[in-house]
Amino acid sequence: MSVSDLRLFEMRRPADLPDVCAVLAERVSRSEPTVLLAGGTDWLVEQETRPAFAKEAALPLVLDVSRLPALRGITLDGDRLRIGAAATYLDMRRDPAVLARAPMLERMGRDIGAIQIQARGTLGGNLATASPAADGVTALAAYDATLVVHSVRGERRIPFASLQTAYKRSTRAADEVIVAVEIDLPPAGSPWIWRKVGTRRAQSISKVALAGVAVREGDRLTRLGLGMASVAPVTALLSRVRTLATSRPLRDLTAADIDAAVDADVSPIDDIRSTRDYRAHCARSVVRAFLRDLGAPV
Amino acid sequence: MRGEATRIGDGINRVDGRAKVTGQAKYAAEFEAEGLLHGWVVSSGVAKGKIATLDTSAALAVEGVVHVLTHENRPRLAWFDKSYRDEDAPAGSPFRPLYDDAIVYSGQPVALVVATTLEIARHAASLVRVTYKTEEHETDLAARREKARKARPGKGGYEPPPKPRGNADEALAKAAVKVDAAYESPAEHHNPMEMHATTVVHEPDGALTIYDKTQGVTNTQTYVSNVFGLKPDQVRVISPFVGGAFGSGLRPQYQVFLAVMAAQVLKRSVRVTLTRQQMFTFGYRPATWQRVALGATAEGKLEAVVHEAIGETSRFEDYVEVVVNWSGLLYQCDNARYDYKVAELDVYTPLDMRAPGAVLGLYALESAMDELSYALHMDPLALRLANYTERDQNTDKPFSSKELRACYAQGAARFGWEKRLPTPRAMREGNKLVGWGMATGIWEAMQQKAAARAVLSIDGKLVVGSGTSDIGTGTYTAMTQIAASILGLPIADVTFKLGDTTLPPAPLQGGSWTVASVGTAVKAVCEAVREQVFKLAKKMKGSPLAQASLDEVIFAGGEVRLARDPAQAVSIAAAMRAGEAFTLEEETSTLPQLQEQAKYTRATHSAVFVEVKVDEDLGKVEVTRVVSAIAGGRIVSAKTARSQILGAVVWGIGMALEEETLMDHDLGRFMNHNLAEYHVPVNADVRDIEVIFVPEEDEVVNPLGAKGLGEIGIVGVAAAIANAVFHATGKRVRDLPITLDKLL
Ligand SMILES: Cc1cc2nc3c(=O)[nH]c(=O)nc-3n(C[C@H](O)[C@H](O)[C@H](O)COP(=O)(O)OP(=O)(O)OC[C@H]3O[C@@H](n4cnc5c(N)ncnc54)[C@H](O)[C@@H]3O)c2cc1C
Repeated sequence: MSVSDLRLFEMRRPADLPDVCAVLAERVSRSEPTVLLAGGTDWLVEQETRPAFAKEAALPLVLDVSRLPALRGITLDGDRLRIGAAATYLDMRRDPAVLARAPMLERMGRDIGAIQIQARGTLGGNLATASPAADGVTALAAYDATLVVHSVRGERRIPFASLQTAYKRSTRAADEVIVAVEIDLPPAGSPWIWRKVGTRRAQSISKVALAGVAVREGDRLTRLGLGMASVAPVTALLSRVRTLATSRPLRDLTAADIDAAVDADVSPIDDIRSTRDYRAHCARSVVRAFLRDLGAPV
Repeated sequence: MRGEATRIGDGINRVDGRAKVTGQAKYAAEFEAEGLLHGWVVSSGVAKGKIATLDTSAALAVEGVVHVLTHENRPRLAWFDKSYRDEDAPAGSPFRPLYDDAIVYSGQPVALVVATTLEIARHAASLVRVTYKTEEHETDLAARREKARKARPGKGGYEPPPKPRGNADEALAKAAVKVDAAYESPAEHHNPMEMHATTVVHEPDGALTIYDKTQGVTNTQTYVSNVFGLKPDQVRVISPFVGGAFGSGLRPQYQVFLAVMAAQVLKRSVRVTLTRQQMFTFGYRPATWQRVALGATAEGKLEAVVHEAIGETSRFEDYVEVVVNWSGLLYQCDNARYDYKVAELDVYTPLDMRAPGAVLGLYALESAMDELSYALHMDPLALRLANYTERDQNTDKPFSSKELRACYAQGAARFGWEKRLPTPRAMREGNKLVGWGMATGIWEAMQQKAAARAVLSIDGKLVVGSGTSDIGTGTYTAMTQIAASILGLPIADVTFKLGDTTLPPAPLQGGSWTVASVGTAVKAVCEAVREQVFKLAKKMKGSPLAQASLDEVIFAGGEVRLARDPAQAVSIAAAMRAGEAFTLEEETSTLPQLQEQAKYTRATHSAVFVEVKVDEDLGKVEVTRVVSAIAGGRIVSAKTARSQILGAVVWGIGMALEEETLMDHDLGRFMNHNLAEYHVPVNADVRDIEVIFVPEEDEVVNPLGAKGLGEIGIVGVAAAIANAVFHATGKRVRDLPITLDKLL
């Protein structure tokens, strides 16, 4: 199977969201494979390495969702930011609301591949592929974003914490289209971190990446959102670290407590991109660095 | 400026630059032919065994598929190994694609699907079903080191390790200060931008015109003729542009074999291109283990050098390279012992990659010298200077020239080496550790036989040609520049042609010898034309040059001028018209001055100084500054020369920090066979690089005095970076690449 076999596929560009949901529901009920194509930067790469389709009948139908108005656009309503699932990283990088209110997303977007990928890749695709190394998902985890999905049954909202179930698996149903993500933003100017660690300074899948947003009042964190890539089968939410760091004044945090919480929150492995030990060390190190920047004496 | 001649040494833009950036330059896979068919290679999924069944029926059933070639239906091929041996073949039995059912490495081609379009061929290739009777394979060098054996020489240019001098092991045991360590480096793949490809045009008379990605058209021509039993004049090989090769195009690769075989069987034109994944299914830099032990007096005089290496090779050929010999050319030492072995594995034969052997040997040697400097509490540069040698102790010969001292001095001055604090971890910037390291580099300066043809037309246009190649090195530019300077013509009036077996023959483009070899031929042939022009100019009625001799005139602005009174001139056109010569043509073949050259060791040298900054929390290394000072004889084309060194330094950064082809030993297969996981530096990894060319005169190496620059730039870079990392962190990493996890 390869990109050059694309000519074998049938591709449609549905008119609107109900149209997509209808086609999807029908095909899913008949177990017919269907692909929602946004930027294609994940799906096309997968086609290069997959074995040939046994029969032409088994070929998926490709639905282009990249231009659906319902999936595009970035809007700010009070403190709530809504990003269409088909908005690209470049859209985010250029959006005034993102720049002003969610700078971590802009910073994350700069680390996605190179500009060509940023101009095509979308959060919807990143979420649907659900790689534990995905940068967009990691940033959304830190914002505790809510997924807005749509199907013939109507709209459903999935809080991030109940999204992921296992490696590349989620609670989103097969016939549900990701329409947008919504973020309840921290106040403007709140501290944040985006730290992606790879073999080289760009174009490498992270060994570890940390996304963080915080709200600080005096010596206490009243909100702490964290996401970490490549340290577990799913994007790590670092819930023990969150609990620890918001449970006491920053000055009472110790390096040992933080490290122990990180260790309990991650389960890295050895693979061709890094070692378990390095990932564990790196995870502790970047979390400590963020909390240090926030005022913890660690 | 039009009308003004370019001189040798000027820094001019690439003459082929515009063609390259506008897409006018055509590469092997871009040539068209009537009814061209496309081949797609099916690769073996196992590392060792036999093909049990090979079912091509589903592939053949696809509309548009013309044929599927396998070992079962291949045509008769040459019988003897020697027919398969190309100019760069090491000792052994060269690999024969689709020859029989034996699988000797993972990724080996087992079938070629030929179809009317690339897409159909590719799709059908995915339908070929192969089953194997697998046998146990061995791919891990570490596990096979004990079984390493002496290498069979046989590869052109290979020098086995020299005989020992004195008694190194005894001297080492007695030495006041010593270091003794093992260094490891992984397999690396060349990964040029252009994947290997061949377009074979089947001419109506049965002759073949082959557009091939190669570093030597003659090598491909000879190989194809021998293997397929064709006369050389039925095989024309053309290769005007090569999108990088770095050694990967030195030997004809299996795509040219398969394309020719398909064209012969089908009597049609056929193109075969390899995928990026398939670029990991032939030659590479071999994984290598080395031991370097150095003994010295307390004052830092070397007393003993032991350098041992074991490189991986295939079961069928002994790939060899010069890894351990170099200390004899760099450091004065009376006791030295060298050992070089190969270990056979179930892999494809390794292949020369930029500065083969030296880049590995100098990584280990220069790391060990650095370690010794700390053991001695001596400055690393001072240690090298204290042991500087003016003689090649391996052969007991002097150097034809060796401006390495100047490299050390100028490189150190530019870098600011004297401000270095000697202790590791002493230099900091913010939360980063700063480290400064240095290393020496060396490569041979070689010259080969080469030929060139030149035709000067009455309109002042000069066309020069030689069957060499330009793998991105700037051959077109350098040769054009040499020719233009000799006849005093503007660059725009000179055309250089290469990459065609109908041109006078040139050696493979390798070994950094192209300027020395082909440049010498170009110089000679243009001088012959110049002499003809001069004779005509003298003979003209009333010529102001009638009394002059050739050394009293200069060629400039399309004229022959009296040097002492340039107003006294004859235009080239007028001279040719008067002599009724519409064109003047010469062809010359030049040979190295073997007798004179044999009296000397000829080499290029370098000193590399590196600054790294290390984020200690994460082990991230940034190479923030590199100064590379090169003694490479005369610089022919300053801009392309600098580019060679820049590119090589970038590669050195990759070698030190990023590059490795990772083998899954259970599968016997390279895992990161793509550019997403096989890391080379990105733009953001590369910071300041400064190149210094140290003046160096040498009349022995060749008449141009140019030593060649293709390889020297990478030698020593990895060691300098490793040494800088040690200086920054106090951690000595002895296996490349120095990835983040190794620094914790
Ligand atoms: C060179 C390169 C570099 C990359 N670098 C990075 C990187 O640095 N960090 C990173 O995280 N990723 C990276 N990626 C991966 C990829 O770009 C991202 O995951 C991107 O966000 C995918 O979005 P897309 O729109 O291209 O997805 P597509 O390929 O179009 O789709 C991917 C999957 O999502 C599904 N899908 C798409 N939209 C929807 C939707 N609205 N609802 C439901 N399902 C949907 C598709 O059906 C498909 O299964 C890189 C990829 C490449 C090729």
